[in-house]
Amino acid sequence: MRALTKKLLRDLAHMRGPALTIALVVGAGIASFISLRGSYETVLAARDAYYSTQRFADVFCELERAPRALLDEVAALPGVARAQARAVGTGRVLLASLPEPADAKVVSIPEHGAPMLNGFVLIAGSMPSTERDDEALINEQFAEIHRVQPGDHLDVVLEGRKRSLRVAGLAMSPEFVLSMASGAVAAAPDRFAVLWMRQHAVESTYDLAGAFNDLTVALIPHAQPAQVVRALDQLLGKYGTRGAYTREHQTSHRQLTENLMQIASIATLAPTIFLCVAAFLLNTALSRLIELDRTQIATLKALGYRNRDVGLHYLQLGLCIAGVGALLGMAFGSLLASKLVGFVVRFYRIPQLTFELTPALIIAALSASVGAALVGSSLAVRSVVRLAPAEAMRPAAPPRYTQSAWSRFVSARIAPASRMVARELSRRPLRFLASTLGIAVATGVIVLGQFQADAMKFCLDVYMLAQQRETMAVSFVQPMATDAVRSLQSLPGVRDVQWRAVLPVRVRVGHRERIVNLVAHPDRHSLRPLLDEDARRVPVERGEVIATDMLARVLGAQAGDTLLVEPLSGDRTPRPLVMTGTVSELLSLWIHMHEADFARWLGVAPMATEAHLLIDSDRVEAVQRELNRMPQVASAARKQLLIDEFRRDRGAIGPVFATVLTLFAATLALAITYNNARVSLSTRARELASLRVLGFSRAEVARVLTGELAVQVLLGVALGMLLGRALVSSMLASSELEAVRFTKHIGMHAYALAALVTLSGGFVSAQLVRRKLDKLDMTEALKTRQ
Amino acid sequence: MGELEVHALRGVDFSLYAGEMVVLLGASGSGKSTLLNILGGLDTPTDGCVHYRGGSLTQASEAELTNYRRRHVGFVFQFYNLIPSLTAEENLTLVTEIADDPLPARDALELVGLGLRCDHFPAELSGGEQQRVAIARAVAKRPQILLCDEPTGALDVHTGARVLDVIRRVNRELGTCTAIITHNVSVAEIADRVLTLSDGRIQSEQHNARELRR
Repeated sequence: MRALTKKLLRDLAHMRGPALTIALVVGAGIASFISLRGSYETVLAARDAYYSTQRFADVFCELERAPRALLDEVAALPGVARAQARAVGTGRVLLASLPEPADAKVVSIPEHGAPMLNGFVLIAGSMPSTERDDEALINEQFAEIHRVQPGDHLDVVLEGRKRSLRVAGLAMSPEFVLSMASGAVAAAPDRFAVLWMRQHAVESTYDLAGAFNDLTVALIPHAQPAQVVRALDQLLGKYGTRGAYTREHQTSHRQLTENLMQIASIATLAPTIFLCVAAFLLNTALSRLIELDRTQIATLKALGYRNRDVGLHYLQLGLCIAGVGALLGMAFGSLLASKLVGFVVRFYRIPQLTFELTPALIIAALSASVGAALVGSSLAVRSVVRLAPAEAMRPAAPPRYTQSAWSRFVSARIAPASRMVARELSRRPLRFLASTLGIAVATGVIVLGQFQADAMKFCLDVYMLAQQRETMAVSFVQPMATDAVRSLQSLPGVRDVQWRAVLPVRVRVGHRERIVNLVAHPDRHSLRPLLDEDARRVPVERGEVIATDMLARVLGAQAGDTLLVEPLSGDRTPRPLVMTGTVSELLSLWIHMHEADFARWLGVAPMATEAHLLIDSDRVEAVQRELNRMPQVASAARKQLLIDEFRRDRGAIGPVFATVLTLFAATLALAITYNNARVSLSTRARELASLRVLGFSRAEVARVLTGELAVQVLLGVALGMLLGRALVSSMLASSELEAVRFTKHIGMHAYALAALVTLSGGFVSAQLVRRKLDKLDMTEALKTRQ
Repeated sequence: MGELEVHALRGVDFSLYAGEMVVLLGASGSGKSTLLNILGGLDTPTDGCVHYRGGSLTQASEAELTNYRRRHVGFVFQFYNLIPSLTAEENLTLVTEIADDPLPARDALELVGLGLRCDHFPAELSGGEQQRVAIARAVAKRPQILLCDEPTGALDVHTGARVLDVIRRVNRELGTCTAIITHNVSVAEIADRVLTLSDGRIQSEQHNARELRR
C-alpha cells in the first residue's frame, strides 16, 4: 500500500468522530432517497406492468342502461381501439365478522375467456362456472381480511334479494388496486368487496338482459382522450350516462397516483436537504483538517509531490467519508424500502410488489453522494492546491480580528469569555451562518415530519369529528322527498334527522372541467356543517354558491364567474351557476349551495340523497338493522367505522415517516453541532490551553467553547421553526392533491419536539467535546506549532 | 495602511559545488530562510536568477519546480516536518515511491543509526531521532543537493551534535552537496565554506582549510 494511502486511512481513523457523523448525514440522505424513490419506482413499475398485462382501460363510463348493439358504435368512434360493455351492480355482503354489511360491486365477466379490458389475476380457485349463476370470484384482499376461501359460501344481498353465492376463486384486478367504491375518499379493504360473476348471472340479477350499464374503452396510441370522452358523452347521453372519464379520474388509479406523488415529492426534498448539509459539513471538516495539516501539505510539496497528488489525497478523504455514508445509506435505505413496500402492499394490491435495489438506483445514489463529496471537498481542496510550499513552511499568521464601534461598545459590557465567543463568531460569519442554517434545517425537518403525523391526527380527530357529527350516515338508492326522510325520526332511538342532497355534476369553465359533487344544504345542517380547513363553521346562506378553493383554482374561476354545470343524473341539461365565493376544505372537491336555491335551479321539489341520524347509543344496532331492511336505503354506515378505516388507510404511514424523519434530523443536528465543536476545539486548542495555563478553570474554558455552540443552536432552533413552516408549505405545494388536502395546522408539540431534539443534539455534542477538552494536555498543546 | 515592500535578499551572488558542505550563517531576519526556499525551488525570487546545472530555476514553471524538488533536492526542516500518521519507515517510503533511484528506506534509516526504530511513529521518537528520520527521508532519494534549515535549532547541544554528525556522514559517504542554514556559529565548524548573511546580503565568505575537500 502506498504511504499516502496509509496516511489517508490513518487520518480517517484519527478523525473518526466527525467522519462518522458526516457519513451518517450522507447515509440519512441516501437512505431517504433509496427508500422513498425506491418505493415510488417499485410501485410505479409494478403498477404499469400490471396495467399493461391486465389491459387496464383508458376511458370509463357508467350509465343507466344501453343496448349491447350500441357497442359497435362506441368501437367505431375515432380514437377508440377497443370497447368492452359490462353489466355492473351494487350489493352487500353479510359477514359474521362485520357489524354491518360490506358494500359489494358486482362486475360481469364474459361467458367464455378473459375480459377484453380490465382483466384480473386468478390467485386461487377457478373461474365461475358458465352453467351456474350462483358462483363468483371475490377480490383476494377482502377474502384475505375475512378469511374467505374458494369453495366457501357467502350471504349477499343483490337488488334487495338475499342470496348465497359460492366463491369459485380469488382474484385481483388493476381496477381495484385500492379497494374503493367509485367516488369514495378512502380505501375500505375490509368493507368493500368486488364480485366477478358470469355475464348471464349479472344481467339476470340486475335486469340488464341484452343491455349494459358500464363501459370500458382502450384508446389507440396518440388518441385525444378528451375528444373520446366528449364523443362518448354525446353518444350515451340518452342512455343515462354519468359522464365518461379518463383513467386519471378512475377512483383507484387517482388515489394511487396521488399517494405516489406525495412520496415522489418527499423523495426529492429530503435527500437534497441531507446531502447539502453533508457537503457543508465535509467542507468544514476538511477545511479544518487542511488548516491543521498546512505543514504536512507543504512538506509533501517540498518532497516533490505535485499539487494534483496532494489535492487528490484530500479529495479522496471526502470521497471515502461519502462512500461509507452511501453504503450505510443504501443498506438502511433498502431495509426501509422493503418495510415501506411491505407496508403499502397492505393497501395497494399489485402483484410482484417487492422492493429491489436496482442498478439505476445504486448509480443514482452513488452519483448523489459523490456529487455531495465533490461539492463539499472541492472548496477545501482548492486551498490545498493554492498553498505555496514555502508559505506553508511558516506557521499561519494569527487570525485577524477587527473591532467596530459597535463591537467595542458590546465588548466593554460583557465578560472576556463571552467576548472571545462573540469575536470568534463574527470572525467566521459564513461558517457561523451555515452552521446555524444547518441546525435550522434539522429543526425544520422534524417539524415537517411531525406535521405529517399531526395533519392526519387533525384530519381524524378534529376535522372528521367536527364535520361528521352524526351517529349514522344513510344514503338512498334514489333521491327521496324530504318529508319522507323526516319520517325516519319515528324510528325508536333516533333523536335527530338531517339530510342533504348530493348531486354528481360535471362543471366546466372554458376548456377546464371536473366531475365533482354539488351539495344542497338545508337550513338545519348542524350534523354535517361546512367547515373550513381550520374546522371553523361556514354558513351556507340563500343566494350563495360556494366552491372549494382548490376546485376554483383547478377551473381557474373566481367569485362572480359563471360555472357551466351539467348534472350527471336526472335531467342532464347543462345550466349556469354563478360562483359567489370559495371555502378552503380539507376533503374533496365540492360546490355548496342552499337547498331552496338548489331545488329552484333544478326545477324540482326539495329532495335528499342522504340522511344523517343522531341515535341513542343503546339503539344504534337496532336502528341499523331497521335501515338495512328498507329497500330505498343503499347503505347505512356508522361514523366510527368510517373514521377507523380512514385512520388505517392514511393515518398509519404518517407516524412511520415522522419517526424516520425525526431520527434522520437528530443525526443531522448531532453531526452539525459535534463537527462544529470539534473544529473549534482543534483549531483553538492552543488558545484554550493558554487560558488553562493562565488559571482559567476547566468549566470556564469549556464555556468559551460551548458558548459558540449554544449561540448557534439557539439561533438555529429559532430559525428552524420558521423554516419548518416554510418546508410544510413547500411540501403542500409540491404534493398538492385535488381530492384530499392537508391542513396547514402545525401543532405546538411539533415545535417542542423539534426544539428538544436539536437542543439535545447540541447538549450531547457539548458533552462529547467537553470530555476531549478535559483531556487536553496544556503543555503539549502549547508545544504544538501554530 | 498600504503594503510595504520588503526585500529579503539583495545582490546575493554565489555558487554551490558538487560534494561540498556549505553553511549559511546569519541572524534572525538576515534572509537565510528565503535563500534556502529559493535554492530548494519552494519559492522564486522577484528579481535575479538561479541556475541549476545549466537550467534556470527562475524561469521554471511550477511543474518544473516540483520535478526539480522531486529528483534533485532533499530537505531537512527545523521542526522535522514528519507526517505524524506515518511510521519512520513509511515517512521514507513517501519519498522512495516517487524517486527515480532511491536508497532502500531501511538502508537510509541504518545510515542515520535508526535501523531498529523503523516502525515507530514520530510521536514515539525523541526530537533528535525525529530529525535523523527527516535526514534519512531527505537523503533516501539520493539528492544532488541537501538543504537543511536550522537542523539543530530545536535540539539540545548534545543531540544537535549527533545530528550534525549524521549530516556530515551523508555528505561524505554519498557526496551530496549540502547547504545548512543556521544562526549557530558553532555549526560553521563542520563546513567547507561559510557564507555569512546579513540584511539580505552576503557579508563574508570563509573557507575552512581543515575541512577542505577530501
